[in-house]
Amino acid sequence: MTQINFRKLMTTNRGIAPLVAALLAALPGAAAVTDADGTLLVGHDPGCREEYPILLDGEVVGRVIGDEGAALLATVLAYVIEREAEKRSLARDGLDKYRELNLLYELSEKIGASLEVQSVATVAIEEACRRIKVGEGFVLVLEEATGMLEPIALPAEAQLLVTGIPVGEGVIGQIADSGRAEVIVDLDADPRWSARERNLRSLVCAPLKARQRVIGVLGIGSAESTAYTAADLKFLSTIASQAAPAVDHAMLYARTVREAQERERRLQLQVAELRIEVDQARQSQQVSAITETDYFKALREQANDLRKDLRSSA
Amino acid sequence: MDATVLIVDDESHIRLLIEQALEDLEDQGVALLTATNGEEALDVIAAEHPSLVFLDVMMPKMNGFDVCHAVKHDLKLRDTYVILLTAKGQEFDRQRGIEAGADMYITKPFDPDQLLEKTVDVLGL
Repeated sequence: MTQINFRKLMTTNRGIAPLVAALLAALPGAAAVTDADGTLLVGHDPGCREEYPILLDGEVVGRVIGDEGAALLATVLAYVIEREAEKRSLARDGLDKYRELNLLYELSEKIGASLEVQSVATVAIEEACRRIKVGEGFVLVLEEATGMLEPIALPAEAQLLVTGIPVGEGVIGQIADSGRAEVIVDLDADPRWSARERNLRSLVCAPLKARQRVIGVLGIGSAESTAYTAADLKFLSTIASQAAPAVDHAMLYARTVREAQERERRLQLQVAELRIEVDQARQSQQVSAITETDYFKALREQANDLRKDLRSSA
Repeated sequence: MDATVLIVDDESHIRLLIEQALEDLEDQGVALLTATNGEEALDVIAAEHPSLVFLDVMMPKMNGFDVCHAVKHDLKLRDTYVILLTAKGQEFDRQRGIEAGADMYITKPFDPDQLLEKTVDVLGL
């Protein structure tokens, strides 16, 4: 049922209120418009009991009372109210879409400015939680060496509902395996449930895909039963598709930095070893330089002569 | 509370979006008015003395800067709080908006919740 304020439309709406007043004035007989409870809104009570309901989605939202022409006025007002309700419904949808657009715009700007996996994940979770307000957000990234989806360290105040989980295990692991986003209202009833997901009751989760492979998952989960919707899933998937390349770049950057640091460490070790070898070579060179001098040679000959003399005297 | 907010934009969907974002304020007695171009906006401002005006910059007949300048240089209207709305990427216009006397500058796509919060703040609700 579309929510409208019938009283406001009849009395203060800039387009409709003057129209109602003009139509009432144009009727040949007296007539008035009341709300669904019979409270007079516009016109003068004609003192008769003929009532013509104004229906919206099958419900009475107001009535026209009066004589000649009142039925026609009720029909016109029902049409006007229906169009107004449709207009407002579309406007609400439009506003929701505009909110999403704005969120995504902000998300792109924020994650584009970050090179750290944790920052990107935090932004993605915050933006997802702005729209999907129930539950805790999480990002798990795939550790290729172990095949495990590991949670990204988040601020201490964040409540972690999930721990590391292998790809293919449990609902989350299978979402990563299949690459398809899912919404699950009752996780206990899902046969794929894993003991590692013990803290989760409801879940909306989307894979993070970059370079045509799954690199992790973005999700919002709740320890209480929560009716996540298809719209939540679509929204989370959109955020995941925006965040995934940024997470991928950040992981690549982190790996490159780690490798560069490792190379630097190895280089430092090699330089240190080389320095020892150079020192040893220099030492033996210095010893050779001393032992090859004429003075040292004469000394060695004198020592040999002394040894011979001692042997012959013995 | 009998405050009035004027929404000025030549694009009907933007007017409708802002009206929808501020709709709940009508229950607190706030009247929402709209205008589709600068000239019409000036007429409505002069007649209704709104407390707050959301003013698009790029409009036919009279642009938002000129409307803002006219309002802020009219002793009877200068207390009107004017928020200029413009597309992202035209931020060089910000300085021009400030020179025209605008109180605030918001770029599109705007955050509808920010618009609501600002309106509540300006109207003291």
